[in-house]
Amino acid sequence: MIDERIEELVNADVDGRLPEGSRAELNRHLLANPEVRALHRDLQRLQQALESVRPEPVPADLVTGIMDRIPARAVRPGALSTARSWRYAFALAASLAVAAVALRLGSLDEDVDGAAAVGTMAAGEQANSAATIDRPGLSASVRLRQAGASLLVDLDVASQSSVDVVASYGGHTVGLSARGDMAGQRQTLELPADGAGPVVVRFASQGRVIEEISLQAPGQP
Amino acid sequence: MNEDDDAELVRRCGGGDRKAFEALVVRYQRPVYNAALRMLRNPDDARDVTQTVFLRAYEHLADYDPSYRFYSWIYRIALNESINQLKGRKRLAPVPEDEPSDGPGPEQLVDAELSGRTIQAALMTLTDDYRAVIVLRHFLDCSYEDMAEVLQLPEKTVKSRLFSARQRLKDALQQHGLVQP
Repeated sequence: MIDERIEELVNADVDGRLPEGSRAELNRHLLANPEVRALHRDLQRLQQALESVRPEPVPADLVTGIMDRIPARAVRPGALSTARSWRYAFALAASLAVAAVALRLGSLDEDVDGAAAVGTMAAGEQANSAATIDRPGLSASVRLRQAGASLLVDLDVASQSSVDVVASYGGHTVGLSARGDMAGQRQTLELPADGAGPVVVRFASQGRVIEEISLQAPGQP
Repeated sequence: MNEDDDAELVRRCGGGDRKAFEALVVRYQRPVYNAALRMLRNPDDARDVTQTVFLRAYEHLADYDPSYRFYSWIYRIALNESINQLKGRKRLAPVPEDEPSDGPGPEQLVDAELSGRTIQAALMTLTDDYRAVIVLRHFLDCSYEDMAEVLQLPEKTVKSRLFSARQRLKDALQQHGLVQP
């Protein structure tokens, strides 16, 4: 059994962190105790083995993948502070479920198909129309693109409270609930592309529409 | 890493400068990815965790306490996210089947000819806490002080945990015939 103090000296030496003035003490123990010598040797071997493991290269598109998921506009610290107090107020109100019901049954007066997350944007697809929202407590970027017979609405939402997002086009409506305190989480809503007119995207909190944007659908004047 | 640069970049991020955040991502992608990889072993999981780490960092940048070094903050997120991922998948494979069952002989070990995969397999036999200190010290080159800041533990506790982790890692390698008993 090796004394804790000696064990610390051995480990510190292996780490190159042996305190000044402790070298002589460690050497004394190394000379006097074969168990200490064995520990020192084992740890040096372990150190060498670990050093032989080279860092792995990062995936080539890692930075792009991260930055693509960052909302277009940052939520500034001041806005965060303000919004954080909202979050507590909203949490007390426990309003998300009520808000969602109110939004879907009342304010918009339209049927909601529910969230339709369909994954991330495929390479080569172009955004046909885009918009950003930057208001206290809510930053979002919205991009519209066509994929076959569908229109896809890509959403990056940074919000400090729960927000319902509803997209409407040609009599179809889909929606999702974005939880509070989220950022950089891309979600996609899918709509049939057989409609006419603009795609309307509404953001609502506590059943009240707080932002509405219109995006030009592909092929529409 | 230049801590002053980091502080300046973080400050600019707070003002909405995406380029500043991208610079932080570029600067720390490699240690964060490698930390996640050593914690998880699976490159795809490590990639996912690395993305999550930076998104979480962005999301909570306003909560970052500048009295801490930025890298210790981001490393802490990386370790926590990795451990969350491990808990989520509920699987730990001590040694993969494709590891050599007849490892190098004792004479080869003197030269520390252990492959990265072999070391990784041994790492995976450690508890998350032990693996984390090994990762911090040996793969991220953290000092004892850095490790204490990342783990938010007293330095003495960190050292004690590191020494125990090393002992267990050595035992794990010996158990598989990879290190001379």
